[in-house]
Amino acid sequence: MIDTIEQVATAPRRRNGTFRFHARDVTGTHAMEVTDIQRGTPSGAVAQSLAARMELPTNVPWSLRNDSTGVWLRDDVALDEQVRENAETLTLTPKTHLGGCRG
Amino acid sequence: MNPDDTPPNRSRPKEAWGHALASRGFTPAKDGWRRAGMSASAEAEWLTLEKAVLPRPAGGTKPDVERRGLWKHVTRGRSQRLIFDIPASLLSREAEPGELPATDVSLPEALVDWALASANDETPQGWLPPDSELVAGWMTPGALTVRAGCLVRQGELLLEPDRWALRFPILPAIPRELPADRRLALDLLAADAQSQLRMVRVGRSELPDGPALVAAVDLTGAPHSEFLFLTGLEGVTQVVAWLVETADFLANATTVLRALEVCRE
Repeated sequence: MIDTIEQVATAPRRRNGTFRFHARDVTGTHAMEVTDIQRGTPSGAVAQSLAARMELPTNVPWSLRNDSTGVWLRDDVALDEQVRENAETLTLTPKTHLGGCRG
Repeated sequence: MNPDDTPPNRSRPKEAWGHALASRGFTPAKDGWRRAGMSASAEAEWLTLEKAVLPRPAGGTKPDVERRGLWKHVTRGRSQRLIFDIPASLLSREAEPGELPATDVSLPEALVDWALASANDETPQGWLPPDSELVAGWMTPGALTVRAGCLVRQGELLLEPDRWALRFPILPAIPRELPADRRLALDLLAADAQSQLRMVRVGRSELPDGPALVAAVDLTGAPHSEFLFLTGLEGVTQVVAWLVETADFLANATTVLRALEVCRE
């Protein structure tokens, strides 16, 4: 089993304020600068809102991955506690579990 | 259970309010109770305290969203009043352990004291905020996150020695270059929402990124009640979900909005 979820040490979170980062979808079709996410917002909620902005289906769960480290962000942890502001690109990826049928 | 064992607050909320208001100098009137320019009326769901107000002097007073307590300006027709709404259901439930510190003051009296003190932007004497762990335990995970379409907003629990409030940005930063008619439209949107929904205040406030449009419920001075807190949380999250897309649209100066041009003419 590969578990790539881990905490990333960052500076203490500044209350309030917005957080800037670059995001794209997993196919590279959509890319955008995101500037209006409030610090403290859980990564999972950010992922779902980005899916809506990129006009991707919102009836499936989405996750964010840090391109520079390959780390999947934890849905329930604030985004700004997991990545550095304006320094990394996050990739929006559907949460899928690939595998064959067990006969 | 013997009916005589039922606490008076649970069986007769209106009587409980009446006792509390009378003990604080209110006298019965035709439509409720009155005391020096303030009136109170008890409905099935809410106790509403009310003061007549004059139009606010431009820039001279503290915005509603930054005041302590629940007093807020509400527009009805052409008149504007100050309203303080308390959910009446507070009286019909048992307090949980850790809530409502034991004092000689009954819950209805404590609520009236809160309203009276916050009318002067003060807190009842000796008031302390609840323990942060207690309040955190009242909330479900993600309770401070509101998502509406492609927008997501993160609220804050403000818990300081002299502050107990919930604050959510509707617009985290109002663009400084936003035309005056768009700012006016945002102000009207905020005023309308504030008039329509109880407990919640909506308006401009200064956040770290600059002026923002926020929704807030300020419980500073209130008894430590889970029900009161969760009622406020539900109200403020509903307001944010209701307004956020409209506010975001109005704050986007690159979009053309003919309706405002018609109003200007």
